[in-house]
Amino acid sequence: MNLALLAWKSAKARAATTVLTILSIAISTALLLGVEKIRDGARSSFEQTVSGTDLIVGARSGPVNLLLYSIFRIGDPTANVSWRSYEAFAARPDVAWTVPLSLGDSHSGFRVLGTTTDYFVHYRYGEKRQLSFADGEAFSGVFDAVLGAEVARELGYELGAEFDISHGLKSADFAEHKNRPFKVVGILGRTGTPVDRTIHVSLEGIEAVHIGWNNGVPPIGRSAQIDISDIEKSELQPNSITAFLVGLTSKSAVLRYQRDVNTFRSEALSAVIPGVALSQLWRVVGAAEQALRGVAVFVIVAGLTGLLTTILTSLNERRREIAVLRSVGAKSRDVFFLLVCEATILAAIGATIGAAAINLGLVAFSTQIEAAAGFPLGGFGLSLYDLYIAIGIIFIGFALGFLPGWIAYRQSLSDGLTVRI
Amino acid sequence: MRSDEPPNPCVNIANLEYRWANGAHALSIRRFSIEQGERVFLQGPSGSGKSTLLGVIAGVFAPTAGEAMILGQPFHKMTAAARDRVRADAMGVIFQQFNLVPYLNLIENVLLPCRFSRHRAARVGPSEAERIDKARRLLNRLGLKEEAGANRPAAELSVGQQQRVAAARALIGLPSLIIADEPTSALDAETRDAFIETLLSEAEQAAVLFVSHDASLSKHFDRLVVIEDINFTEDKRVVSLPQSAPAAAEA
Repeated sequence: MNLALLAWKSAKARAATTVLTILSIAISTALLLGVEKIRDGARSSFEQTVSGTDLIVGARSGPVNLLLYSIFRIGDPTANVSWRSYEAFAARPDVAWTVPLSLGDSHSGFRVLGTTTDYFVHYRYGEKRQLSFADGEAFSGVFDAVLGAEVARELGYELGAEFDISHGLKSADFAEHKNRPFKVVGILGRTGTPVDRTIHVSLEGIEAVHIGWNNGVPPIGRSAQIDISDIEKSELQPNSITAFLVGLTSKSAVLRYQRDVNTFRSEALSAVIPGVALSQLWRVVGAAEQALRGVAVFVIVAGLTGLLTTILTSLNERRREIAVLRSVGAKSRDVFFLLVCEATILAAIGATIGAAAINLGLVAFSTQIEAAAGFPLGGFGLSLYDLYIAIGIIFIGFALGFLPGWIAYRQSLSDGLTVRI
Repeated sequence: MRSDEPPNPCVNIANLEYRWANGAHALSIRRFSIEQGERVFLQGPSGSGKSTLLGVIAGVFAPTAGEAMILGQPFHKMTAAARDRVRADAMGVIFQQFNLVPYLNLIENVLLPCRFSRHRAARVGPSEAERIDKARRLLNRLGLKEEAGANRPAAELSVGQQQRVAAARALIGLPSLIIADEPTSALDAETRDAFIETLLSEAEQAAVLFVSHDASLSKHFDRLVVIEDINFTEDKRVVSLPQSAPAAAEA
């Protein structure tokens, strides 16, 4: 205890280098923990995005691609699923439920998802949690819309708000469906999944805004004049959808159903098991994250090397100080531990500040980070992992202290009580 | 405590040899002793082995051969840590200069030995508050009243003031032996004598081993020992012995 206090006072007397050393360790700790936290957040967010769904079916493509566009609303499908195929697979006896998904439109950068009200019943996230309404209810009319929590918050929309949707993703896109106002009838509770950033409308709504469109070209001439009141009376059965979610009556049917989809003759389709696709996706994301982690580890090494440099540099000017301590009864061992203490204390303060800073920072800026990442991140806050890393850094600091400790020990033995400088 | 002890010498060295790691022969002393409470002036030029002898007596260096009974303890047989403990418990050391730990204030510097010895701390006072009070009073007696009150780092003091703080640290907690290695060489003539007088009067029953090359200071002491008269090392790398007959004759 005495030695730790002496070590601290000695470090404090060299304020400038001490502060810089602590700062470099704090920054490197924060970086390493930050990378890990964002990785963990992304991973748990990935894993929690969809649950309770046995299969996702879409046009033939890789599982990751299908998962990305159907669940994460990232990227675009290669092709659609025809309504006939959907009906065929939805009508099978081993099917408990299906939810059709139709993507391709957006509003103010948020994806618009055409679906049925079954979506609000069967879509599950996290531990099989159902979607809940923070306000309002599910859509019933063609132009009713249900907003994800983040959409409502960011755009400031409340129940009754009206808006247009545009074809494609950019709100500045020329192809806005100007004459088709949607009205907010419901706002979902926060889920921490891409649902929060999605606008949900009925399949009929999606069909309605595309009446008269031809191969992505807006309606021209007479068909552009169609009135909303006419649309609601029209037959709005979609020809195709983007993908659909399937819940089966028994788990044992999953593989058979998947095989039947994959070998379906009349249309090239793919069925993926969400868990399998999620882990594949994670492997893709994981590679980049490993590189980031590598960089973070090197920054830690740099920070701790700085610590060692600082203490080694101070040794020469402290020979007298050490001789004085020896003269009042300090053992050579004490001299050794004095320097080990100093290294440990600096590493401990640095690691603690770094861990605290990254946690506070992530909590404070979670909204901005989530917006930038494009999907919500998992729960932040001090974790056991932070503790292990912090203890690891402190331990390395402690171990690095052995070098200056040993040098000072040797010096104190040969210097004795006299230091000639 | 001291009155109950048999009158062992404070320092009793017999047939002591000390060689440096590089083989240089620094000390060869047949006999050297200091009685309890005795004030000894050790004189000799630099490089004559004075500092090495002080290191052995203080327990920082272990004798290569021979006996060194210090404060009744067989330093030649003890571990370094055990010798360090004796030094912390019962010795005070004053250097030529740079005696103070720059980042500690005066009181903390004076009480440093208490950090390394519980016995010493207990002799100064049972509580930290009392020890601080004791240190402050000692500094007052040494003429550092104002400096002790202000909580400023030791590094801001003049050399003379620093030496008096070092004396206070050596004196705190009634040590049995005070070792002073040229403590006045950085002081001017007037303060030099005053410093020695104060040191000797505050030392009370402690033995004092005072080292200097300046023979004129020996008048303050009970006994004058010239290093060349006791150190018969043959190694000229360490000791220059102009007319020291036995060593020169053999060489």
